Amino acid sequence: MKNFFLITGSILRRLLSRKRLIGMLILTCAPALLLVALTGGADRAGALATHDTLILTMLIPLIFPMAAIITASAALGEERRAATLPDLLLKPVSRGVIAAAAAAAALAASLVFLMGGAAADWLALGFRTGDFAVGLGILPTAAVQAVGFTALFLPLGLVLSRAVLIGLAYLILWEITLGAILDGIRSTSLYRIAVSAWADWGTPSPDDEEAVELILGRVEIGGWGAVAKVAVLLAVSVAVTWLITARRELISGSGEE
Amino acid sequence: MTQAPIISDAPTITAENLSKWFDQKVAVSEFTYGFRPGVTGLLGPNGAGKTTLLRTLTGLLKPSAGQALVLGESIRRRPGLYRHVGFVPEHDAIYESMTAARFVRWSAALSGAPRPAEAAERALETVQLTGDAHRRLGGFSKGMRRRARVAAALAHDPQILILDEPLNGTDPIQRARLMELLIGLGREGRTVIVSSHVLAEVERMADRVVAMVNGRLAAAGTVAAIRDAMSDTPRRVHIETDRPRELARRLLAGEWTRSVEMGDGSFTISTDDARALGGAVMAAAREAGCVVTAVTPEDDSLESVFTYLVRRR
Repeated sequence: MKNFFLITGSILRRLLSRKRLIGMLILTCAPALLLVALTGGADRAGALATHDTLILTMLIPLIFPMAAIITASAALGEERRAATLPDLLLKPVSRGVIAAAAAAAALAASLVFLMGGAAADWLALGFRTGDFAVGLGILPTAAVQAVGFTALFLPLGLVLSRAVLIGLAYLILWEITLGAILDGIRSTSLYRIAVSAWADWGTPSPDDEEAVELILGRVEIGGWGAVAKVAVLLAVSVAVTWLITARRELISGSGEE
Repeated sequence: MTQAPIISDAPTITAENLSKWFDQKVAVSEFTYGFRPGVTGLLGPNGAGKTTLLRTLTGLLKPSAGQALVLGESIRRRPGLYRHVGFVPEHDAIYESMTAARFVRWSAALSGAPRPAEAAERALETVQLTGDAHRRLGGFSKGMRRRARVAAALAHDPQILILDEPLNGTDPIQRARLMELLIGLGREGRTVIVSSHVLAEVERMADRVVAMVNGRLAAAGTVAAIRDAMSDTPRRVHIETDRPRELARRLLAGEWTRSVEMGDGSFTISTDDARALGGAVMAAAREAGCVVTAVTPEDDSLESVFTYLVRRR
């Protein structure tokens, strides 16, 4: 366990560098600021409707995933690109521990960024509606998204040099565009898994219930189902990362000679 | 360093028919050698395959053929063996946001040092970075980064130390100190493998030299032994005497003499058989009544050995 915490700590410190922390929190808190700006004179129903639109069009499909993708792909990917990966790999530590520690660090950092944005959203909605119970659903939804996207992009960040660009393309093409057209792929969509959790734990306004149904298609609403799916994905991700670090060559051979 | 000297002279790290290629490019080819306790210099021009060999020996790269064994086992299969290995990579990439003390302590702890803080303190003192221990590595010069890396590689007291161009970027004083440190570690019985393309450094540090050319083992042994093996190339010996012409005339009669170049109070003789010349010089000097003040082989240096090996390949 000592090695696990040593590795988690070193990766987490890097992922939570001051520059990244500020940048990521600006990104994830932007919708909350937008909500405050857009609902200056709105009543409760208007504030809720604007909030849900921001959640379904910005926060869940784009902003939270981007923050989690950038963070998760940096966890081991930055080590590889900065050529510090040998500092981890040439230690008497099981590659499984390295993979689990990297996943823990990436998840912790993603949670900080996403939960920060979710908390800002919850506070902004509570401030506008005077009801701090109504927006709580975004907090567990953010956690589900943090787990799901961390699981997917931890190993991808390790093997792909442009994981963030690929992640953006994945969001726009697969999750948003193809997911809207092809009902069959919606059950594999992390965006829809998150929406199903939010629809369960949050309180979508009646106007937005139809939008939720349209997004989900055959995917059933269910917070705990979403938790189970991302938990399985995380376990698979750690196993894949373990295999990659144990089997693949992550260092170039003759570059510096 | 506190580890007791290792008595055995058996190889601790072995390459057996080791080959490594990347697509069509062969970086290391059928390399077989057992690295023993003491300092071994891994020598070769840029692109010879030194870095690839070291990365394969440390398990960072998978052999394409053959095997690399650390203490008799494949380190890729048994990461626990890294407890006995310290590695200084060629590049100076480092955790820039960490302080030197934190980096070395972290490295020592992960490598299994029993008291990481004390081990880190000792290692930083060894490389003379104690004064800068609490500065961030991002602000370090290239030479200081190298020293921090050496400290991290030493902190857990490894039996095997592999250093890829460790002296790059260090100033002359630090370079001399690091060389002394590595020589000392070799004398303690550790296996120290130092790659370099700077011949003088290797010559000063290493008990043995392994020369690589085009990915292959070109020669291995002491500098003198390698030089002796080069029987098909003439050796140049500089002789200082009070009567150079008389002595040179007598030595020219030897069938092993190729040519003589006269100098002021000395001459340089080119010979096919240095041993025969060595015996003949004193005999000829006695016969001629000359006083020989110095006999110096001019090309026993690694430079000449290496030039020869590269040409031969």
